[in-house]
Amino acid sequence: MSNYIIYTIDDDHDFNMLLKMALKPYRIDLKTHETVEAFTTSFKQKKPDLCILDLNLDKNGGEGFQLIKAIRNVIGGELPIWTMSRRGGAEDVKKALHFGANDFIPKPLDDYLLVLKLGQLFPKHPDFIDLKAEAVKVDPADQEANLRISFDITEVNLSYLVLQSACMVGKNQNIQLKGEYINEIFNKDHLLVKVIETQQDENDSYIIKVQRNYSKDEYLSLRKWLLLRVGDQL
Amino acid sequence: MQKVPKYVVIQENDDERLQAYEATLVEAGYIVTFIDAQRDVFTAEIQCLSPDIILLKSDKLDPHTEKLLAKKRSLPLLRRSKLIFQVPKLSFSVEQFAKKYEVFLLEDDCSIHSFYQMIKKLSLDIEFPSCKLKLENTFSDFSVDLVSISELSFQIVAPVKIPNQSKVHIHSEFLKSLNISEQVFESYEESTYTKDHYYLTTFDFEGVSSDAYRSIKKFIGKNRGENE
Repeated sequence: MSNYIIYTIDDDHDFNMLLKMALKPYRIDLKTHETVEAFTTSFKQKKPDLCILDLNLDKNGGEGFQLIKAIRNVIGGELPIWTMSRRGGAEDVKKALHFGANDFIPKPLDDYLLVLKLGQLFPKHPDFIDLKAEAVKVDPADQEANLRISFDITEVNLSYLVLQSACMVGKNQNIQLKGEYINEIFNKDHLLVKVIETQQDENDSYIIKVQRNYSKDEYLSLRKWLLLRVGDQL
Repeated sequence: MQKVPKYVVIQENDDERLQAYEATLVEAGYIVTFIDAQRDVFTAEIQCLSPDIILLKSDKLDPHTEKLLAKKRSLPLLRRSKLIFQVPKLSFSVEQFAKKYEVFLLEDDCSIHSFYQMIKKLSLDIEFPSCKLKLENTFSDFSVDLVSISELSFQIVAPVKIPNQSKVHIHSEFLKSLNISEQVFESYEESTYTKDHYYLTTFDFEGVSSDAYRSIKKFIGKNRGENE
C-alpha cells in the first residue's frame, strides 16, 4: 500500500518544520508549502489524501477561506480539508466549515491531537491501527503510583472537619491530609483522619466529613485556631 | 458520632489526686491541663484556649478570690468557662458566695466519683462554635495502581471515584520512564466501580510530547510482541 499524502500550506517555516517532526514516525508523505502557488503546483501534479490549510495566509486572513472554496469548486467534496490557525475562535471555525473544511486544528500544534485525528481519518493506515488497539497491562512491579486529590475545608469544629472535593472518598477510609491549613490549624505537616460520612451536594461535589481522635497538642492547636476565628461568637 | 472533647484546666498539687483526676478524665475523652496550685490560672496561655471548665484550689473565699472572679469576668475568652472552687469545707457562707458568683463547689477530700460527676454534669450544656469557611489547597495522597496503558490513555485503580474530565495530579515512576513529564492528567470518563471500594479510572495522554508518545508506542509494541 502506498503512503498517504498530506499537503499543507502555511507561510510559517518553523511551523512547517514542527509539523514534519510530529509526523516523522508515521509513514505519511507530507509536503509542506509556504505559498499558494507552490501548493497549487503540487496539487495539479498529484491529488493528496488530505489538505491542511492555514487560515492566515494574508494580512486580512481571507486567502485561506478562498483556497478552501477553490479546492471544493475544482474537485468537489471528497477530499478532506482541515484548517489550522491561531485564530481559533468559533467564528473562524464556523466560517471555514461553511466554506467546505471538514475539521479544524488549533495552533499551537498539539501533535498528539493531530495523530489522533489522523488515526480517525485513516483507520486502515498500519501506523494508526495501534491507536485503537486494546490497552496492555502494566507489570505489577511498575504499577505503583501516587494520586493527589485536592480538597477545600468548608467547616472546622472540635469534633470533625468537613471537606469538599470533586472526587468521592468512601466512608471509613483513612486519609492523610496535607497543606498549608493543616499546618496552620494543627501545627503539623499532615493529619491522618477517618472519613465518617460522604455525600454528594446539588453541584455534584462531594461533601466529606472526617474525624480523628486528636492528641492533646493537636486538640489545643485546633482550639486556639478556632478561637481566633470564632472567639467573638463565644 | 464522636462527642466534642471538653477542655478542663485543674489546679492541683497532690500527685495522687492529680493522677486519679487525669486517669478518670482522659479515659472519658477530656483534654486536661494541670496547673500548680500556687500559680495564676488565668494566664494569657490559658485564656487563649478558653477552657470549658476550670477547677481552682481555694483555701478561703476572701476579697482576693472576689478580685480573681472579677478578673475572670473581664476576660472575654474566659467568660464562658465554668468555675469549680475546691474548698477545704463547705459552709453556709461559702455556698452563699458560690451562688453570688455562679461558681460550683467541691470539697478538698471529695471522692473522685463526685469530682467526675460534677465535671460530667457541667459538660452537658457546654458548646463550642463551629466555623464555616472555604480554605483551599488541602490535599491527600493515595497509593494507586497503574494497571494498563494504551497509546491514548492509561488506567489506574484507586480508592477514589473521579468524575469525568477531572484534572488530577498523578505521579508514577513508570510514566516518567516513558518520558511523560506531565503529572496532571484529565480523566476520560467517570470512574467505574471494581470491587472492595476501588474504582477504575481512565486518563488521557493528551498533550504529551512527541518523545513521550514514541516511548508509549515502543512500550506497547514491545509488550504486544511479548504477549504474542
